[in-house]
Amino acid sequence: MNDILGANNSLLDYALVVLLYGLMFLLIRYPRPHLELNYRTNYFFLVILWAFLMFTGNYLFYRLGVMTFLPWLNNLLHSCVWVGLCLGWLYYCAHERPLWEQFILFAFTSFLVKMAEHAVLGSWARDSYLGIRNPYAYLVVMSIVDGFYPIISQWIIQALGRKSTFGIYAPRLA
Amino acid sequence: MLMASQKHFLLTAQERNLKSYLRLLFFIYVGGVLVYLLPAIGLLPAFLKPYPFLIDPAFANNSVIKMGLFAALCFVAAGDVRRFLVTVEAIMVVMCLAVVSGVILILTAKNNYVMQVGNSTLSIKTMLLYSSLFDAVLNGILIVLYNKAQKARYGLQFFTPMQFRTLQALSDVLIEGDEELITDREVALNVDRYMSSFLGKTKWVSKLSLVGIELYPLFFLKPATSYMRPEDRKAFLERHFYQDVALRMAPPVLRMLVQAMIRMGKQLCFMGYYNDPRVHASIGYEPFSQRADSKKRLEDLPYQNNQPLQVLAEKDVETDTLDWDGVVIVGTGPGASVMAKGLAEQNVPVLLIERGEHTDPSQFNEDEIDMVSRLYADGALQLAADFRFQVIQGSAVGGSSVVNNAVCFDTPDSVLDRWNDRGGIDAGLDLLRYKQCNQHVNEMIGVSRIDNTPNTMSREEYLNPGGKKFIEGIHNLGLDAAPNVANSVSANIRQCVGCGYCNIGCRWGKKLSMLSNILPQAQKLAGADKFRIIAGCEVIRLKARGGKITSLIGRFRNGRKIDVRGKTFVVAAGAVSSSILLQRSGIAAGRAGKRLSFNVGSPMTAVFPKGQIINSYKGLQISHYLQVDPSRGFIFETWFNPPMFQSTIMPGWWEDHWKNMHRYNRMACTGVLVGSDSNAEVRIAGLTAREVRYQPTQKDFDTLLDGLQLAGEIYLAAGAEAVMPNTFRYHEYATGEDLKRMKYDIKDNSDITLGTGHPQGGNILSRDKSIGVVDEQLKVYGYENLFIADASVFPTAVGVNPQITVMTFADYAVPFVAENAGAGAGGVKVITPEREPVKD
Ligand SMILES: Cc1cc2nc3c(=O)[nH]c(=O)nc-3n(C[C@H](O)[C@H](O)[C@H](O)COP(=O)(O)OP(=O)(O)OC[C@H]3O[C@@H](n4cnc5c(N)ncnc54)[C@H](O)[C@@H]3O)c2cc1C
Ligand code: SF4
Repeated sequence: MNDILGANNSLLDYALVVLLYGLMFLLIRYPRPHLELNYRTNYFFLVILWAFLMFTGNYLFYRLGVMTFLPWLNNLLHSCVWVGLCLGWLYYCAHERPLWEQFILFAFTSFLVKMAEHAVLGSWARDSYLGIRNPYAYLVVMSIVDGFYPIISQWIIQALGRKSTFGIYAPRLA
Repeated sequence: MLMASQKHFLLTAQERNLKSYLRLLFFIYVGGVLVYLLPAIGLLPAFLKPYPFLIDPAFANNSVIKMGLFAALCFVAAGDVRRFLVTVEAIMVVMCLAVVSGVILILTAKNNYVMQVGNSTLSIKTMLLYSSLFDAVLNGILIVLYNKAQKARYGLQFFTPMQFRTLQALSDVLIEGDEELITDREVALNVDRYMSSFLGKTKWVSKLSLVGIELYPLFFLKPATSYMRPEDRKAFLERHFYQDVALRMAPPVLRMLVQAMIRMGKQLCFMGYYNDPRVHASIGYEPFSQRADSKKRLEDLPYQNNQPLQVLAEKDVETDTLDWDGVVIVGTGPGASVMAKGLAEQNVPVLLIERGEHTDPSQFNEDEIDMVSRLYADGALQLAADFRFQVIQGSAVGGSSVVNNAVCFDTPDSVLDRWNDRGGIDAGLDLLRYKQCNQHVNEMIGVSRIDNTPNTMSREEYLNPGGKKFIEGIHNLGLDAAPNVANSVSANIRQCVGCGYCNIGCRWGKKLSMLSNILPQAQKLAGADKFRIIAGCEVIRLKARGGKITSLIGRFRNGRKIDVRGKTFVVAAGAVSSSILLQRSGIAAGRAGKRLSFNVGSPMTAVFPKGQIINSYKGLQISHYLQVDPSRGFIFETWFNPPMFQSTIMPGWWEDHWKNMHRYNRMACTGVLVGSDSNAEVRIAGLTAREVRYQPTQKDFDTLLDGLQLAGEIYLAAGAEAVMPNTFRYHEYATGEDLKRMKYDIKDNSDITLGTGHPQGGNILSRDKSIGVVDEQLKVYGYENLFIADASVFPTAVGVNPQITVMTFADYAVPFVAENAGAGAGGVKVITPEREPVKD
């Protein structure tokens, strides 16, 4: 059970995390509450792609020793709900802004959510990381990694949009 | 300055990248070998000391062998990435195996012992995971660089290097003659150009076929096709792709797949070879632009009807949501165009949305590959689910009318009676009005008999010479007496110059197609603001609220979508596509796509004795027909094509095909058409999400054979030295007696190539709601503002060329659609006088 929920965690803790995701989603959605016709496929594609990549990546990187273990439920919710749905929408709202702005936005929101997960579920904890002896080092580095979401997404969308693979539409290249 | 020959040997930038990467790999592997050997000579660096497996002799030995071998292979390959390409391929294959075996062991190995690494431990599975990931990354990069290098070397745009090589290898053995004028590489490059030039849902089939052909020999423990020596390759293809299929030696499913693969491979090679202008003179073909009398013909026959047409492309459509205060029509084929023109005459604003692109007739040219990729749906490669039946349809502004032969037949009375039979389909057509519409359409599109109109095809030289041979045979057999009708065709063509390019677009404005005639006329009448055409936009869904269509979603080729709202919607995307659209939109579930039918066709080719040059390619592609007693169920139409098209239907393999293509100018050809039963179906299924399921009924198949036999007899009576149906196994028949054998040689549809350009039905008109998709007004059951006006509403196959019937239906429905859109006089409501209430 520890592997699934994490030590000392109950489903109530997870409900709290999901509530937080929901509130963040409301905030993220604020500037653009509706998916435009031409962004729908891109959005759902990115949701599925990132959820899958995150879920498997988190585990594989743990096996490689680069990351700490995320309890399975934590990994699932974080990958699917937070990274998939919420960051996907954030990208929808922000993708026309300059890349550096997007980078900061993603890294920062990600940091907030990781802090919350850390506080509620005790995950994302590591005493030192990359030689930095500070419990926040790991959290900060992982959030910075999330800052690359818009850069990688843009590259993927433009590459696939060139031939409209999977129905992806990349207007600037059209 | 570099000489051209020197340039040829220069590596491309991508090949240089590959070379550098191989060098890097060499150093990585040599480094690996050293790491394992250092302990033996007491030189293990301190940082490697925590890793005990480095000094495990068995482990070290295996790793040194593996890495040493890889290092050697990389060294060799980096020396000359072209010459030693096969070495790169070997590295890729072995590395893939290493990764696969690593994954299998991680998942299955029971003995997951733990090693001490410094202060911590490492299980053997984790180590395997690391090493497999490492191999996967190295190999992934190698595969990407290899592909890029190969694509850059040949300038490939569609095929992968392996598929390209297979194509080259196939061409090497399939195109087999004394003097091949272009190289196998050039053939393969021509095909690559073709396949990359159009967007299609079935293009992957060609890739899959080539991969299948490449790897199939591995099942027989033989090298892959492209690695075989040419003689062995030919022997293998003959044994396993030809004989196993022709003699039914392979199990049925395998036989179907193998046959599909080789048919596709064969077609591609012939396309690549015979479309090349360097080959044309060798088969006795002269393009129109080079014929001695072309200029004179164009001067003698000056009529030119190409009229300007304003068409919007993606960039012209500024917003993603369009509100159209009128009728929105899907498609621009004959059904859509006649409907649009009728509405324009009643002042109804019309917006047409077309999947294909707009090509101005002035852009039409003699390059068959170019034209087919621009004007046909799926580059004319649309196949039924069993890969044995080809359905070709146009896809361009103007629909199939741009590429059709313009042959016109009124809907036969017997067919109308069958449709209206109240015990049967019960179409409930008002026959009097229907016939008026039929007459109206003939006038509107300018139908005339091509040898009977002053100033048109009256002169002998412009009739197809092959067609005349056919008529000669008919006459010799006495088949031109009633009830048979043998004649030159009626067509919406005026002052044809006989270039023979009807199926790749009439550049000269002689064919009165929708593109150059009806659509421009309608636009002129209504004004470009009230008559708009958006091209390159596929309608993917109709959105409904209750029983009302609110809008449709169209998608451009770059993925951009538009939402188009309108008052009334007319689907006229042609048979197959219209049914798919309804299915995608959840409309007429369980009925849309059913009862699909065709005019199934197969050609009979005749070759005339040496010295009798016929040049059937010079002249109208379909010039004559023979309609025998209707009870026999078939109709003949002469048909001849420019070389590429003809090569794909030319009977024969290996040297037989070569020999036949080199008798091209002594040949004539006739298509036998049979109106099939409505036993086919199209549905969203299969890998293309567009699956046509069709197997001819025994009755239809026998009728077709009957027709082919008679076609053969006709040509033999005209003096042909042999006739050949388009069978999988090659057969030539030289006498009437011989021909009797044909029925035994062709046992079922796997033995012969069948195809159609005339799909019909799928959304049939019937007053019986359990089978009908549309009612007598061509309105879709259950929807107040949705109509269908194309070949998909035919209750059964019409048995003759369908375009007039398509247009008649559209013309018939115009008042209903106009009224629905709030315009028009209304009042055309009288249907069959004895009409009964619509069945529930
Ligand atoms: C090579 C060839 C030769 C032929 N010769 C003759 C002949 O001599 N005489 C004769 O009577 N008939 C002939 N035909 C058949 C005849 O042309 C067709 O029966 C007729 O054109 C059918 O008209 P339609 O309006 O139903 O569909 P089509 O002409 O097929 O037009 C449908 C149009 O809709 C478009 N479309 C499809 N799906 C969508 C979508 N989802 N969104 C937007 N647009 C879409 C297509 O691109 C196409 O342009 C021939 C056909 C071919 C292919
Ligand atoms: S043969 Fe066909 S393409 Fe050529 S001019 Fe006549 S109608 Fe046009």
